[in-house]
Amino acid sequence: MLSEHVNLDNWDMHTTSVLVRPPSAPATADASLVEARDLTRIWGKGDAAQIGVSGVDLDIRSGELVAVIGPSGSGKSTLGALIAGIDKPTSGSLVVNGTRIDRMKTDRLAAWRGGNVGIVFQDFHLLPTLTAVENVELALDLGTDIGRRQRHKIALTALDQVGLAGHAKKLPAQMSGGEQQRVGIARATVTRASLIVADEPTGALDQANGHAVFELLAGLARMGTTVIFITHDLSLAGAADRIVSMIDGRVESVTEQGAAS
Amino acid sequence: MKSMLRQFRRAPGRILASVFALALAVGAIGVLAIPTVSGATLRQAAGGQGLADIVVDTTSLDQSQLALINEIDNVAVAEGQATVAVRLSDGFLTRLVGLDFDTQTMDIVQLTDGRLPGAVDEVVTSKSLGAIGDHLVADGSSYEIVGHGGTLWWSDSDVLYAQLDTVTALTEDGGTNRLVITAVDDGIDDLRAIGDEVRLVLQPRGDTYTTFPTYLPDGSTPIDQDIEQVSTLIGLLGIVAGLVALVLLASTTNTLITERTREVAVMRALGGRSRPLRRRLRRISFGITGMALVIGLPLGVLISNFIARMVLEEFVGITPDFAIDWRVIAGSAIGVLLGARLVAARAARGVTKLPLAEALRDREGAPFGNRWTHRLATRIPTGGLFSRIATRQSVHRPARTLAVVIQISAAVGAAFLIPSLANSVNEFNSATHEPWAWESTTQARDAGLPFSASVVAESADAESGIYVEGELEEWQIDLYGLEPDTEMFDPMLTSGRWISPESREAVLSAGFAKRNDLQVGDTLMIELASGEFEYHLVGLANDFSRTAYLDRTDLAADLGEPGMVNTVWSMRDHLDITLPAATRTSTAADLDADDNAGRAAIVTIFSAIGVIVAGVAALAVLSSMTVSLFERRHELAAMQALGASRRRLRGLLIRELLPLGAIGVLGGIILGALGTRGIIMSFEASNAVDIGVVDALGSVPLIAAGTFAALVLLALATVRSAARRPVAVTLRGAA
Repeated sequence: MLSEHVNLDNWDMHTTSVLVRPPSAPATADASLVEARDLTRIWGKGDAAQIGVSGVDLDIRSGELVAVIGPSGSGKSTLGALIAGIDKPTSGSLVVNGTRIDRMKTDRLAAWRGGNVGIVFQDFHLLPTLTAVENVELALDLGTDIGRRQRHKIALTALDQVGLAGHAKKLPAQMSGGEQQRVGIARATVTRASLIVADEPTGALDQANGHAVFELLAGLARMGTTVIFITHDLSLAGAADRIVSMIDGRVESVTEQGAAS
Repeated sequence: MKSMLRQFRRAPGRILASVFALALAVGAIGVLAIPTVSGATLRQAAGGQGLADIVVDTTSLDQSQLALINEIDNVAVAEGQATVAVRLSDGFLTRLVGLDFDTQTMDIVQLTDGRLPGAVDEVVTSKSLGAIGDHLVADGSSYEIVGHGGTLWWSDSDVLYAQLDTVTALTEDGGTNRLVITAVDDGIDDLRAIGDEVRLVLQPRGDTYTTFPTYLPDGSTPIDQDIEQVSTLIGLLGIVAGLVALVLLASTTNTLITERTREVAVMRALGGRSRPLRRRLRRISFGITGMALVIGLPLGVLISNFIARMVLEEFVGITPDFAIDWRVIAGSAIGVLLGARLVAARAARGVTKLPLAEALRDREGAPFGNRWTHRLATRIPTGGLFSRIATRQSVHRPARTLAVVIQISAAVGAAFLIPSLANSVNEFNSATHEPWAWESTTQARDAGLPFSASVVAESADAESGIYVEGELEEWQIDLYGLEPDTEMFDPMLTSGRWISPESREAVLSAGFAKRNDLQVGDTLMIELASGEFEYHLVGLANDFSRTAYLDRTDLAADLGEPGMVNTVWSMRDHLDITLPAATRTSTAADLDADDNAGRAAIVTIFSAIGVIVAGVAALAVLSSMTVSLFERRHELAAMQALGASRRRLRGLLIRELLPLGAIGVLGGIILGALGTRGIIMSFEASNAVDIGVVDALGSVPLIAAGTFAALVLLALATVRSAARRPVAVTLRGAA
């Protein structure tokens, strides 16, 4: 079982001596980490126009675990991509961690992403030619100024924290889907970004692996990291602090649920 | 068609790059058609003008001698013409060519405008000498230009065509002094037999040939050999371009088919049979090839005609008609289609034979880590993370890596070959002039030996001698008749000794002797205009040409004009004495300039082909990179999502490309050096001379810098194109 290998008790990155950079924003309760106003993303023009999200107003507080749910094509992945800074809105404003990112130039946005947001993909998107530890190191290389040796140590620690200490030198092709996703989570969290956007991170995994991955993300939220969790799985969404329900590119409802499990 | 359009919409950039690169390569193969295109023009010109099989200058002949020659066995027609050197009032030295316009069957003047001469003071000439109606004054006589035109034989010089009587009036004894013959059987042995017979016919009246006869066997033209050699070498470069294109076709086809692994697996899972699926996959490759042929074949026809035009205008002075070599068109089409079929069949077999479960899982082609080379690459420390990605990418796709290296090598090879050829030819030209101690040479314009050897008795810095053509071991050679104590030539002997007076001795070019297995002490049978004569080889000269140095007295006697000469060499750039015949003075610098002009023409032609090869290779590299970028778009997008700026991505691609560029440059230099040697050896073999190779090592830094700059630009363009699409959109495409 995957959960047997995941050491959530050790998931305290603030006490990890090799980490030198503090979180980029204080995890103050009620402070909005994400402020989206009239956020719209449309592809194409005229009759061929395809709406991703339309007129979304949303605030997400620091340290929240937010689940975004909705049917296929409802715009939840688009919303996640916009908040993660890997897509740009057609109109509206988007402030994340105090920075307005909707008008940022490509390279500035890339630099911002490297230091402020961790992304977990459904398809993992590990670099196939890098080993597990190198994939994690890559995030540090791109998002921080930490030296090579230090990076390696931090990456190994991050892998240990997701229960993959023994898989550090394996290539993605030599790992299972669950293992690859855990490398993806280690990669997303290793820079201690204040925001994690996970787009259906359990979608390609079986139930056990899916729950273990969710537990990792929920643990991060408990420690003050804001986690936006896009999912179809209502049982996982039920464990979030808030549920944002989307339909046809709009926010249908936002449900407060109390503390995450 | 609908299916092809769908494929095109799926990857327009990659398909277009492949199509154009392949089309350019097919076009480059078209240069193999140059000999045919040139030949067609020459044959047409020869047919229309009645090109002779034997052409030779003679002493003055009358009608009765021509009648006897016409009776020689195998002679179809023998005609007399007349030529004399004349100087125009502006100092231009040219020739009056007398033809019997009413009865002639050979060297028929092709008029571009105007009419043929109808009076003794009328001429036809080229447009560069004047307009119709203008008058030219030649050696004091005035001639009116009544037409513009010329013949193939005199196409490289501006001569005046006049009535036969006009010119015979100016020749010695008033007869014809040029003999043209067509034979019934025109094999080389048949023609030589006629040549020997004619000598015998002329002998009783003391007449003889004054130049070495030109034999044009089997319908050939005077410049066939030159054109064929240049064209064949250009064709070799065309083949290189074709091979680069096939590598490109292989890599593109392979990718286009392999990336459909999962799609095909789904079809197989739904019950699709392998054979029809393979056929569908092969159609992709045929589609690309078909489109490339549609563009490439007409392009090839244009290229071959363009180069043939350059060659013929440069070497012959005639502008060819448009011609098509269907064999080359069919050959290149079949070759490229066959190549596409083989590559596509192999790739399609690979895709349809993959275990179904594995194929259904596959998203990005073969995963990294399944081969020992992949595992080895992960264990070898190769610098930082980006360097490791770069190295492992090259190991991950060995076929692509090899293709890029080959393509870069081909471009660099072509770029290195051109200056190396130019350097070698340059050095060869200098080497052939090395024995010349003289500053100017003054030569009689008419055949024969028109002035006495003592003509220079008054001049302290001039020597008289003979320069004629002859034949040795079936090679046409230059023959110099010199005073044995000459100061005008430094023979640069590599073995043996210099000639002694009147001892029938010869010194021969060392390279020519080596290629004909001739050694000091051998007896040489040298054929002159007047017949075959024996000389003893006493020394070898390091002069890089096909030359025999003989004693002036011996040579004049053999030519039937003892004590006479046709050339004066001087240590000054002009001659301070007047010679009793029409002459032309050329300085060493003039001859250098002529050589340079000839070399520039050859280098221009090779450069044009080199640019095509380099262009094909550059397009091929671009296409390979486009394919590579497409394959790795999700990977690059993932890196962008993690915070990689465009600068970092450019760095990654440059790290990947530069080592391949370095290997490609090295391989290309070796390829270019080997190619240069191959071409030079071919020239050496076909001319029986030493040429030698001088590699253009000075161009290597420039070529390397150019290659690396091009690769960096390629990386810039690639990343620019990749970064244009939002990361999320690219990543979503992977799901």
